[in-house]
Formats: sequence, structure tokens, C-alpha cells
Amino acid sequence: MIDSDTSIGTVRKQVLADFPMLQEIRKRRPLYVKGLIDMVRDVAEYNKRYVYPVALELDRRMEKDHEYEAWDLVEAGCPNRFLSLIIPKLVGGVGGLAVMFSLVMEEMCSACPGVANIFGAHALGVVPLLVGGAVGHWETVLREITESEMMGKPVIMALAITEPSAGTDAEEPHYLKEARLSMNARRVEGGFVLNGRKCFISNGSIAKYIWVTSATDREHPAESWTGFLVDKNMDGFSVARVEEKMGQRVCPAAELAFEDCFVPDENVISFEGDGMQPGTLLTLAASRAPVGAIATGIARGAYEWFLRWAEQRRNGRRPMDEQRVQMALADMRTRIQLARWAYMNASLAFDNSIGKVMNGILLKSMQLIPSFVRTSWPYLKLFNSHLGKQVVNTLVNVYTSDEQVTRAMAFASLAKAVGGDTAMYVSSLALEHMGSEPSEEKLWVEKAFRDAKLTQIYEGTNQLNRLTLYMSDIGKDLTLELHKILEPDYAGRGVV
Amino acid sequence: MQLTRDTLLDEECRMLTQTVSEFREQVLTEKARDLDEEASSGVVEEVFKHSAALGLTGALSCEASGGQGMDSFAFCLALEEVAQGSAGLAAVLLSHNAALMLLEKAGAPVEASMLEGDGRAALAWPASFEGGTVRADYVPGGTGASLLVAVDEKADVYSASGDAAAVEEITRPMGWRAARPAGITFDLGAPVGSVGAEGLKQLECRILSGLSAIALGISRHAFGAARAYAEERWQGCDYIINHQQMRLMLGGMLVGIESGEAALKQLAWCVDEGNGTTGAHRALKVFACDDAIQAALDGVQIHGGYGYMRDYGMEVLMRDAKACQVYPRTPAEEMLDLLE
Repeated sequence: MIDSDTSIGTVRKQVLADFPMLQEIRKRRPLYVKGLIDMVRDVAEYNKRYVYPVALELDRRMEKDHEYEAWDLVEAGCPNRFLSLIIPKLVGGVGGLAVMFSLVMEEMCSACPGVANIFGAHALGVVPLLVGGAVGHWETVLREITESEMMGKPVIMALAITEPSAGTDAEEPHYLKEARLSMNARRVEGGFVLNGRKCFISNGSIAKYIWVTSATDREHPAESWTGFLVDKNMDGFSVARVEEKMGQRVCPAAELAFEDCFVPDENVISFEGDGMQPGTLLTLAASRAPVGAIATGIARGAYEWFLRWAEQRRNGRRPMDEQRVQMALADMRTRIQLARWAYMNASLAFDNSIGKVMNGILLKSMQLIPSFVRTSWPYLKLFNSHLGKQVVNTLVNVYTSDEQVTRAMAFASLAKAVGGDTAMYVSSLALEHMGSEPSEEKLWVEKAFRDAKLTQIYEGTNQLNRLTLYMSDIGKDLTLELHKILEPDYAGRGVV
Repeated sequence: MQLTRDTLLDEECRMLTQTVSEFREQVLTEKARDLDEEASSGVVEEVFKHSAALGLTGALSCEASGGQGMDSFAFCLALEEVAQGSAGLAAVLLSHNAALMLLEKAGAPVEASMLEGDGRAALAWPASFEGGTVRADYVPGGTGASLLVAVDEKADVYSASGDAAAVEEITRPMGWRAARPAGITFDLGAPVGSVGAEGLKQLECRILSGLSAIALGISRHAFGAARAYAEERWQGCDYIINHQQMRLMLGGMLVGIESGEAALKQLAWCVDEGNGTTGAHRALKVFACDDAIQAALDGVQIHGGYGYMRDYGMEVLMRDAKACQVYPRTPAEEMLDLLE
């Protein structure tokens, strides 16, 4: 809350009370847990100093001027390294994984999910570079992000999957085969030419780099689904429009247009045809738990403002003295805590599987290579080459198993669906009790109600996430072994 | 499938719904976005005048005094149609008509201009009466109203001109923006008359049934738009209307709409027969509003990202349904009183 005690002692006590699993981990890895708690404290202070004082007014302003860009809030976050949270230390990042990122998202979203989503959508754009083994781009794009941030000049990323006629379809390999896609990537000498549209892209209008998915063969979209790194300054790329959203307004959602946009071979992330796996699926496995945390943060914010409202005396009595309000508060508290444990469980599952790659022998050994070598042209050329990518992918496979990744994806979908439903339930129930009498607390809860709905839609609708949970954990018919989904003898799937 | 609606209407009611439906399609749909802007005063007054031409500004007033003399059944039908285009405007019409009806029942004169839409009345209800003043925290249609009406527990009716009242516009309403709600305070003069206990009960029944009709209008809008979208949206290797998940959501909306519709018609008819009971109306209002919120949430969900964007006219249903749910009292307050 705006007037909460953000001293490290209080934050530590709260974090450890909310997450008993961290108490256990702390016994073995005290510095790791200390790092998490310090980061939560940093966010709480950032909220207090920069977000709470402006969030309501900014939300209102952006209803009227939806193209306004809140760079001042992003810049204010630079000292806290919010843009470098999940970027490996190798290239100057914080080196946090899903657990840290989720904790940051919950804390930030308790104040304003619109602000948080700028950092969240940015991280979503970073993830494919990490899980796709795009090590060459680590030294260019990711290093640019970390160094710019340290200079107070933020560089933002975005991820563009959704198309005007394909939302869910573009995130699920079974559906992708019959999706109505507008994007197309045509192979030309030295790269690909992109044409088409992507829509509802968070950060789309403010990002410098965007990870864009497209089929390279419209007849076989699932098999040829490919991830491209697009620079906003590339010819043929433009922002077609910025959407007017009901909530989470501070983070712009844009429609992106690609008109003969040439993308060189080295900007293909992983291989041609790897856009679904590792690209989309691993990215979503990484990001859905933090989206669960975003939603949990929204629910928590609504709960805290409702609690404050309930404590105030109205017409001679406090709402909190009434049993109906006590029951509502208890119900909210229960659901928030369950959603919290769900996203922490999913984050731990990710960090203990895919995340291990980030802290594994691969990265540690690369740190032995001098920095001037890692940023040299031959090194970058090597890692952006077919051979370099193959080596990285092989090493990634050593550290992860399909079973682990599938489980991480199942937990992530569970956390996302639970979180989104909790945010909607808590904010709606709070408003139900607050009535029609205006108050500042009610304005915050109304904002949470509007913000919450998006968490049931983006990052795969809650319906898709339930299907993913079914397919990966119950029906067992979603596997990351793509040869079971894709045509085994598809000949068009090439490499770059 | 609209069984309840289609089978219970007589010819007069069919004509009324047809006329209001055309008004919705030709005027409200086009102005829906403007009506949802915070500073929407000019547009609200414009569509209010349009609705006057349809007789909706004198709906509940008797024909002898220049009104339409609509019964509760017909008025609910009209409100439901209007609410499908703008729930906020429907709330303005409910407040206006309830205020004029109250004056008429109290034996006070009602100016013809008010019935013709040249002025707007608003009902300060519920209100607190203390120290010679009346205070209502949330009055739909309160901003810009030229006449304010209130009734106390003893059924005494009071009125004041808009100029004589302190009107605090609620500047950031989440929903019902076209209603331009306000907090109202005015000095109590002598009562203009009394409606008696029965009149008070009839007033509450009409307001609650009107609110239920508005909620049903929101549900209908959500259902119609979501169904149309689901029929043309291809996702998951099929049109989404063919997915069981979507059909369950749409079917759930219809369950709520049809149940609410049947109950509303029954209760409105009871009011017209002089047998209205506030408990039943409270129960229906809670049910219809809960259902409207779920329908709006599901409608947005079925639209996916498009539903969340203001241009597509779905998200406003969520906000309007929430405003409807907590006026005049919260569902919990209504339910707690059901046993009394």
C-alpha cells in the first residue's frame, strides 16, 4: 500500500510468511532468498515513490490520450534494473529467473498492473532470446538493454504472436495447422521478407526490438513457425495503431504492420521451424507463471484497498464490523494466498527445469571468455550460425527433459488461470460490497476490476490454459516432442 | 431462442419493443461510444429528447396529464430495449419517470415540458433526511436535472428545482456514464404531498423491476454480440461457436436471460395488478444483476482481445453491469432484507 512500511525487516517478514517454501530454500541458499527479498523491497519503494502518486491520474489521462507513453515511470525503474531482471549476469543482467520475476510482478501489480506490464511484456520479449539459445544476440541486444538501463535510457522489447484472426491458434501447435494467419515470411537471399499484421501487442509501440512469429510456409504453418527478431527501425515495419483498452492502459497495446520487412538470417531466433518449440511454447511456459503473479498482484491491490475502505467508519459504523464483510475479506484472502502459491509453485518448476540452463555450466563457462572476445564479430558470427545454434540447443537439451518442461508448462497454465480468475473474483466482490457511494478506495478497486479482466485473456485465454493443463497433465497428449505433433516427413523445414 | 419474450407480448407491447428497438439500432448504437465518454452531457440530452419522441419521458405518468400511462410490464420492456443500447440512458429514464410518477401520485402538478423531454427529473433515492435537508450520494441522472424529487420513510414527497440543489457530479464513474450520476443535497421545504405506504412500496417495486430490466438488457446485449462473434470467429480448427466451452458460456447466458425474463414479466404484471411485493423484486434484481455481470464478463471473454478494447463495445457492459448491481443498494444489503 501507499503508506506501507517498506523497511527490509518488514518486507522480509511478509515475504517469508506468504511463501513458506522460501523459508526452506533459505536454509540452503540464504543469499538467493535475500536477493529475492531485496528486490521485493525495491519494488515496494518504487511503487511508493513513483507509482501510487500517479497511477489513478495516469489511468485517467490515458483514457483520453491512449497514445501517451509513460517513459518517466520506466526511467524511474532503471536504477532498480527492472528491465534486466531475467537477463543473464553474463551480459550485465540481474540473472533472476521466474521466481524473482513473479515476486516483482505481484508487488508491482498491487499498485498498478499497467506500469508492471511494461516490464512484464518486455521480459516476454527477452525470453525467446534466452530459451531459443540466441547467444549471439545476448551480446548485442541484451547487452544493449542492460547497458542502456544503467545509463537511465531504457530499451524495451516486445513479443508479437497474436494476429487479427489468430489468437489462441497462434499459441497452440494443434490449432496452428488450421489457423487463419495473416503474417507470412517469404525466404529471400540472406533472410526473409515479412508481410502481415500482429495485433494487441503489449509494448508494441514503444519497443525497440520485437520477437515476431510467422510461418515461412503457409501450407505448413506449424512446421514452419519461426521466430524473428525485428528492429523497429527496419524498413517495412510500422505501428498501425495503438489500442484503447479498458484497463492496464499505461502499457500500450499496438497493432503492428509488416510490409515487405526484410529480416536477415542472423535475426532468426533458433532455427526456421522452431518458432513453436522452443519459441512459443517455452516462452509461454516461462511467462504464464508471472502472469499468474500479475493477476495475484491485482487481486491483492483490490483486497488492500477494500480492507482500507472496510476499516473506515461510515454512518457511525465500520463495514468491517459486519459479518458479511468479514466473510468477504476472508474469502479474498484465501483465494489470493492460493493463487500466490500456485504461481510460486509454477515458477519454481520452471527455474528447476528450463531455468537451470541459465545458471548451468554453459553460462558459467562462457563467463571465462573475455568480454572483448564475446563481443567480437567472429564470436557473434559463430553463435548466430547454424553450427553455433546447434551447439547451444544440444547443451540446452542436456539440462532439460521434455517431461520437466511439460510439467512446468502445466503448472504455469494452472497458475495463470487461477490467478486471472482470482483477480476478477476479488475485485468484483469488493465492488459488490462497496456500493455506489464514491470514494478514493473505490476508484482503486474499480481500476483493479478493469485491469483484472485482461489477465483472463492475454498470454492465452484462461480457456486455452485449461486445455493446456488438460493436454499436458491429464490427457498427456501435449508433448514438447514436436515430431509427435508435426508432420514427420515435412520437407520444407529448413535451418538458417 | 427468446421464448419468454416472444410468447408473452401482446400486439401493443410488440409495437413498443419494435419502436424502441429501432431507436436503439438507429440512434443509440451509433452514439454508444459518445454516451460512454465522461463528458457526455450534450449527447445525453440529445438522445433523451429522442426518447421523448417515443413517449419514454412520460412513460409512467397518466395519459390525462399528458403521459403515456404505460404499465410496469411495458415500461420494463422499453427499458430493456434501451439498455441494450445504453444502460446509462436507461437509468436516466428510470430515474426521470420514477420521479414524475411519484409527484403525480402525491398529487403535485407535473409540468408538461418534463413529460415532453424539455426538462429532466431525477429521483434522489435512497436518501437521508437530516437537519432540514435531503441527501443522496448517488443519483442517476442527477447532473443536469432540472427537477429533483425525494420521498422519506413516511411517504412524504419533496421536490426542488435543480438550481436550488447542491449537485456534485461524480466525475469518474466506472459505469453508467450516460447517467451522469451525482451526489445531491437540497433543503426540505414543505412536502408536496404523500403517496402513502402502498405508494412507497409500488415505487420501490417499479424501480427494482426497472433495474432488473436494465440488467437483462445488458445480458441480452452481451449474448447477442457474443453469439454473433462466435459464429464468425475461427479458432481451434472450427468456428468457436462449435466449441463446447463457448456453447456452455453462451448457454449459461441464455439460462440467466430466460429465467430473468420470465420472472420479470411475472413480477411486472403483479405490480400492474397491485400485488407487487418488494421482496420478490429485490430477489430478482440481485439475480438479474449477478447474471448481467457474468454475461458481460463472458461476452468480453468470448471476444478475446477485441472484447477488451473500447472500440468493440463489449467492455462497457462489464462496467455498466457493475453500476447496476450496486444501485440503489448492494446485493448483500438486498439479500439481508429479504428475510424481514
